[in-house]
Amino acid sequence: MSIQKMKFTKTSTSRDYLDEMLLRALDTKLLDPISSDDLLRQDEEGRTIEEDNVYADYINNFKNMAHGIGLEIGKKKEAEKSYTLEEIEAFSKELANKLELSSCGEDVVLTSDDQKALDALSECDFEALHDCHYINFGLGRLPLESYKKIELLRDRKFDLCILHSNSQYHWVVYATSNTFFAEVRKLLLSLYLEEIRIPDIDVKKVKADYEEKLEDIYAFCLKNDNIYRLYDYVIQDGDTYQIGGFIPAKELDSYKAAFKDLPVEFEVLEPEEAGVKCPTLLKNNWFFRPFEMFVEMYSLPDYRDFDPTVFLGITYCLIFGIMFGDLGQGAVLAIGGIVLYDIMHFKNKLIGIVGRVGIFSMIFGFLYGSVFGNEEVLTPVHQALFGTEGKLVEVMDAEWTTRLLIGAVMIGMILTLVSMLINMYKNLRRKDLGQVLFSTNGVAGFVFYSYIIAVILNMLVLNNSLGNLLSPVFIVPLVVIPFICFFFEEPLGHLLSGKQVKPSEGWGAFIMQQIFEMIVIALEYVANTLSYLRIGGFILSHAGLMLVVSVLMGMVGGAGSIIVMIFGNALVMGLEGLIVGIQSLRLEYYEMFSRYYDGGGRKYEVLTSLE
Amino acid sequence: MSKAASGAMTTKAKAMFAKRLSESDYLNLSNKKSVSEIATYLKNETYYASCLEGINEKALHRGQLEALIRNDYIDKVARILRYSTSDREGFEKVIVVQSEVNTLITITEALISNDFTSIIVKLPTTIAGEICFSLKDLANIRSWEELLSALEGTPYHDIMAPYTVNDIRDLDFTGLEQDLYRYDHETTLRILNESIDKKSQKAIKELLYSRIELDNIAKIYRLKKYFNTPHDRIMPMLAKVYLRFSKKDIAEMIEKDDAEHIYERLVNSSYKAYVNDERFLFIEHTTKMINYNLNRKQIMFASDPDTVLLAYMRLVENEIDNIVDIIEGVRYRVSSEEIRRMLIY
Repeated sequence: MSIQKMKFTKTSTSRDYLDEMLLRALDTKLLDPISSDDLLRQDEEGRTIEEDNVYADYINNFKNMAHGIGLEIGKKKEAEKSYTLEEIEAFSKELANKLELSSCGEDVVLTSDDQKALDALSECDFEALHDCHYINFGLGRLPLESYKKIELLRDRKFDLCILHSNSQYHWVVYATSNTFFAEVRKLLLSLYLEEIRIPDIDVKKVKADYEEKLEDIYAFCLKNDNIYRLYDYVIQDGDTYQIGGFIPAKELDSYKAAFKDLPVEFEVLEPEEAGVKCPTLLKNNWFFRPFEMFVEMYSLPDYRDFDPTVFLGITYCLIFGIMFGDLGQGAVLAIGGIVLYDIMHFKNKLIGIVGRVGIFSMIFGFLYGSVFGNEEVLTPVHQALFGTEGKLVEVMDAEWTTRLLIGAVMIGMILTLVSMLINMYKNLRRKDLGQVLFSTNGVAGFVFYSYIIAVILNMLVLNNSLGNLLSPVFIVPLVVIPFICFFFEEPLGHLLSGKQVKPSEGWGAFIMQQIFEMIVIALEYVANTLSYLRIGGFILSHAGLMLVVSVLMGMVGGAGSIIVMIFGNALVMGLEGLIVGIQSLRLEYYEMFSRYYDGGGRKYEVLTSLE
Repeated sequence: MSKAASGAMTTKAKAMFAKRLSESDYLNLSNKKSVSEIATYLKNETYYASCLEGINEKALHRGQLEALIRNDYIDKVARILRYSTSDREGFEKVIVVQSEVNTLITITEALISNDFTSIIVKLPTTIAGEICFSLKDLANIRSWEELLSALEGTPYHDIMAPYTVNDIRDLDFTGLEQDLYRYDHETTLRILNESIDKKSQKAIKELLYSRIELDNIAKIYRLKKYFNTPHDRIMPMLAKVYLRFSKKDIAEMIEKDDAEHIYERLVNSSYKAYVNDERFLFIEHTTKMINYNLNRKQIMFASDPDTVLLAYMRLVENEIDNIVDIIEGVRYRVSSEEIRRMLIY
């Protein structure tokens, strides 16, 4: 439930062991490397390695050639032997020559369907077809309509065989004697035959002859290409070559162990000493881990900040559960989500979130007494458990509508206050006293907002039992002083941090700007609080929608009512579940994150192989 | 047909017309440099995507592209007819007769020029099951006699038999063509009279007769301007259909007018409202434009399904002609401005 501690590690060796060191670093899958340019900018001594990566071109070449003959390469992880550049070049040329012979002309690009037709034709030996003296063969794509027309002919001077078909063409090979070849070809061309040259050499043979060596050389090139790409992260200082990057502190030993038989030196620094931005790796328990997705979507926290995932997880589950309270539907979401994400290990974190919010949906569904839209089935349980006359919460009762809406605003107020407290804690850690004391989300804001809540509660709920809270004794310290703090937040903050008090734009412009700012602040408090009304709104809309399903079930009756129940519940779960999910996220981002969270972190991205 | 079915068919036809090629499509197509570029554009950017799916546009022959687009025309009409009840079969028959007549004209041309390959190329295999003669017989004919024998028992035998001559090169092709087209027009009218209500007949007749009448005028124009044909030989070559021009008007046109006057008479007649204010290119361009505007008006304002369907069919034919014009223009390296001037949309 925090941000993983990191260490900045510099790993150095001599030129002889550099490539091996880089490959080992790659294999650990632990290093988030810093580019040599960034490191050199931090007054590191040395220079970058300037070497042309010849292997990248070979890799592309081999890939293209392999694709051309329908070969999948890259299965081999390790080359069996080493090759010199001359050997690779010679092999590349030899293979290119062979492929040119087996191709259908330089400008022709064969489609996968063409290739299938050629594969079918290769049952006959291509060389044998070309060697025939008295029979001529032709190959091509023939439109389906044209084939129908050929079938109408009675005395054909050729034989035709379909090799492959799709929705538009038959791929056909035709055979005719030398005497009729010109006439037959003219007929077929007038029927829109698109000719394909029959290759001189069988691609299959080329594949069989070259596949093994191509795989081996490709693996060798790939390995060297990876090394060359890692050179971007290496600094050369005299005879020493060094790669620097971040590693989770707890993995440091296993990282070092990967180099144990190499003459490698390590220098381990704290992230603050590295001089470059430390990446953020969130660490949360199984329950909250899926919610990291929402934090990443907004922006990861800075390494020195705190991880808001747990607070987000709790509040998101609560808000969703309150808005989408149904024991049955919640159970479906919970079981589906937990089975798919936690048991079957589906990677999509959203599925995990669905499972977790489902649990809260069940809890609140139980409190509302709602099971798949049935509002009566839990009434006896409520009566036995809570000693109530009916259900604990009668969502559709007019009396409860006001209570639910007021309750929603109360939840909003509490969450806003908690968000302010978190903001103060965050700024205290940053030692930004100005923000802690004077900002709208600091002590001043907290005091002002708490006072407003107290006034409202006193008037509406407590019947003024706290006395007259609107007297100047309260208004001056709890409204006027906080607003003065908001107004002069910047100069006061500067005063505390020992900076120049006078605003950079001058006092006149500053005061004008702040007057408008105060209006915005006052409006924001109101708007942010009322925004939580949606929680109450969605409780009602969910119950309303399920009431419609119940009425429809009653109208249909019999077996049909079960179908209506299944479809109705599925529809509500799909549509409303989605909307409630989005609205909850909106409250998280706009009403809470905007008060306490900045983000701006960099994701921890380990170096991995390119293939 | 129920009101609902008729409404559905009208709506479907109008909705399909809304997908037609736009001005910017024509602009883009006319700027293409090759048939394969045109095919790629039609396949990726227009509603011809489905009929061109799977084609290899890099190696596509222009004839094949045209054939695919023309086949799509039949599919389009079939898609609209799906919304109709069985009494709409008449329309399918209209397409079939049109196709039969065109096939026989092409085959006759092929026999005259002794080019048997083009017989098989032009056979309408997509509607083989609908037409009244055997395609297998037609595919293998090598003489006029074999053609007549293949047509035995069909209405076409009686139309074509009187044209038998000793040497096929002496055959009166214009007369035969005229008789076949006349059969097409008369059959179309008969089919539609049988299958549609009286209210729709007036609008449909106007569409059909206008086309025939405009074809007559274009024919008179050409015969007078380019062939100097004697007056008495022109009238028998025309279909006997009079809509906005009386028989007397047509006779006057043949007797007194020169080509320019015929054009003037046309653009100042009651067709005036359907002539766009454009520079004169050639007479068929003007007559096609009038036809296009007449059909366009019907598809916009008519509500009965027969008129809308017929107008839709004519407009799609016009679009196909436009595409063919673009393909030819691009092949013969005509400038894109010139190509666009020939198009009617």
